[in-house]
Amino acid sequence: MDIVEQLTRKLAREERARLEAEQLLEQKSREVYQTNEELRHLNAILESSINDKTIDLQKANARTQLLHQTVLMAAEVGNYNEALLFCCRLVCETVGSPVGHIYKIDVENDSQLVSADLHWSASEQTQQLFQNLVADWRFPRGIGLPGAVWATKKAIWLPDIESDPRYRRFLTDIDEKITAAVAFPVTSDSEFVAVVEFFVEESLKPSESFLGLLETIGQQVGQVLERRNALEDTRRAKESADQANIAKSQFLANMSHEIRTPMNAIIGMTELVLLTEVTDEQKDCLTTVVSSAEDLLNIINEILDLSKIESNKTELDIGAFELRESVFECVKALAPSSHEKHLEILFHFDESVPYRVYGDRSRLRQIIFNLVGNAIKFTSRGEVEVSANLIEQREQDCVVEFSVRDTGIGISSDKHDVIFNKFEQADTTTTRKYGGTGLGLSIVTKLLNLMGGHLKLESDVGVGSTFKFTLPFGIVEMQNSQTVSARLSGNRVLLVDGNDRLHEIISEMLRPAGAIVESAVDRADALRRIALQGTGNGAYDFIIIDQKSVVKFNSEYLADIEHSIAAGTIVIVMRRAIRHSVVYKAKAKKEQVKFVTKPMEQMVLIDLMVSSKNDLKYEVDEHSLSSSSVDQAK
Amino acid sequence: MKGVIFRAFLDHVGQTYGENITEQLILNCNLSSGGAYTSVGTYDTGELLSLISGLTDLTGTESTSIVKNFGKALFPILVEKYPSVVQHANNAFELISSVDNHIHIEVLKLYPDAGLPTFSPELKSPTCMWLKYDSERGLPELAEGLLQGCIDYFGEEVEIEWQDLSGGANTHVLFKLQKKEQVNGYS
Repeated sequence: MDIVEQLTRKLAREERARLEAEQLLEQKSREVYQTNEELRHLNAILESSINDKTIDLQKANARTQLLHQTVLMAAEVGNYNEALLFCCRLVCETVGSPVGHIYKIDVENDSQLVSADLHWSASEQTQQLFQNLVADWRFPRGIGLPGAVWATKKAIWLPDIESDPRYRRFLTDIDEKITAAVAFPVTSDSEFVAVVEFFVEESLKPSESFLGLLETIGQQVGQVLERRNALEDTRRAKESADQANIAKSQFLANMSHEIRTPMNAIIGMTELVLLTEVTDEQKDCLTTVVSSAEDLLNIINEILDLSKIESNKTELDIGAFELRESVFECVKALAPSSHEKHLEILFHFDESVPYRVYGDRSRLRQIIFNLVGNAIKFTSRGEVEVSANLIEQREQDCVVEFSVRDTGIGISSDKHDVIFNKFEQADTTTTRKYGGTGLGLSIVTKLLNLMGGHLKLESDVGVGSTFKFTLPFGIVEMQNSQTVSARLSGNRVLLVDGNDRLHEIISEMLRPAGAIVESAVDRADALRRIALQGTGNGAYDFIIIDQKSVVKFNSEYLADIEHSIAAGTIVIVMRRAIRHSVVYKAKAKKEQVKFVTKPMEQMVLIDLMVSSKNDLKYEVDEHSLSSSSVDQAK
Repeated sequence: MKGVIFRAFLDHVGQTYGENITEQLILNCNLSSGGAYTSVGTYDTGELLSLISGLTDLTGTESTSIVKNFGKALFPILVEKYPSVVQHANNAFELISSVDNHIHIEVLKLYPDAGLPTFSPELKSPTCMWLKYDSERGLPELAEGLLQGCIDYFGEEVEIEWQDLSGGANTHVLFKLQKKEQVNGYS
């Protein structure tokens, strides 16, 4: 085979291969076109499917929103009609309905539904037209779309309201596209209460799930009605309870008054009999009658007080009064009962508290009496302290905080609220052990409320309790015109008492007068300090000592001190408010020993100290004068 | 089998034995395609087997030797035509390892109807690879030639052994590739 033939054959093969390749290419092009067509078709299907899903999602979202907003509305809106209208508007806006309204059971004929006169439409004109149209519509139960919803308590879609076999309606005047309607029940506690109806185009056929959603919305709206009814019931119940309470208080006030009159007669007459000649046995009996009657009268007075406050008969008696003095009088009056129980009673008014104020003096005293009385009652050892501080001051008025502290049984924290309730004490055994009506704190709380004050309690079981209350007052005079001048300037005072608080109080009392107070905790400490000072000019001017020390050591205590002190030192014995059988006989000159009753008032103590100092000075001067005249005579 | 292989085979015959032998071979084999092949076409594998046996008749060369030599010559042709298939590999083992997962995927993109053998490589050590070959066509010599072509391309020295696991059908074959030790003792 020559080269020409070889090449010819090869060329022929190549040409054939090229043709084949071209055919292959055309075939592949056709295949690609076909595949492309198929892809386009698949793409169209996919897009349509995505659109459908998007619409479904939008619908589901709109429904979720619808339900969400209804639930929010049901929780917030208190007005039932407002809730119905809100729900109607929400549904119409969500489905794109041009008009919707509400039917309720006719009050004049409970076998039919009438328009509730609650309509919604996007256009005012449509609403007006619609309103006129529905005014005459009546739907008996089971008749027409609203009647069917009433009968079945289900949401219903009616595709053609004009051909409704039982009740045809024409709304084409309002909107020619409207041919279909949807209605759903509003139910409260499963009971039918109203129908919400809205109109749509026929093509807007709602799904079963949407109808179910509408029923849920109807229940949510019904909850507003349930809540309104419950609130109404509660309000009525409260009103009637308040009424009954006032009536009871009035009855109690009247009854207490009726009881008080004969009780006063019993006490008065018994006291008169006691003035006559009676045997010892009769006297005992009659004394018991009087004290029991007085106890009973106290209880009646408390009930009367509370009843008056509760029946709103209490009126405040506002006037000007000396604040410190008024409170001090109360404390002083209660001191004997405190001292009977061997309790220290302390009184401390901060200097900043205004001297003369506007307020209800007697109510304040009643509060103090109650709180201090309780403090003494529930304390078996230690002390009771009454104090006051200024906590707010403006030009015309101020707020004072009063505090009544004790070292008594205390109140556990879980009982803190209970004790302010009337007739309740911390527990029932308290009443048996300590007595009382359990009205005291309730009266105090109510009085404070009336006076614009506030009571609070700090307490630890076994440590004690502090009741604090604040009260507003008008300011009349800030300072007492009789101010404490430095009448004891430079005088040195030794207080012999282990109570730190008493030391603080006395120091504060005497500081304005210029005296310097030192403290000795006991007899040995006192003797040591006195010895240190010597009997010359450096000796103490005053020694203040508690009577209990004198009693405790059968006067030796004081006698020791007396032996040690200089001639110019004055001993002031703080006496209890009750008489003790032990009578102290001073070995020193009687001018050198003075007595003051606890609790002490600042002015009283200072006056006593100044006057005794003057008396002694006079005595000494007189003595030295007579001595010198004798000397001269000699 | 794809036309690209037939074209490469006829080119290889022309270059090895001369164009005269090629024409004679085509005449002798009486092929239905007439020996006119286009790379993108697909042709009966039987035609390649006829061409191989026809070449043995014409030249007296063993068919296994023909196939192996063709495989060896085919590798650089394929590399020239499709350079991207070797770009990712740094040595023969890397390329062989990527045949099934990389090269054959590229092949299928161009020729979706290509009937491809499968290669399952297993690196026994850094210098030893076992390669399982499965093909209905039973042409392990072609595979051996291609492997050799690949090794030559990377300038490496690897010994190739294979054993038939299919009882003479040569459809399942295990290739053992062992890199030769370097003179300095490092592998």
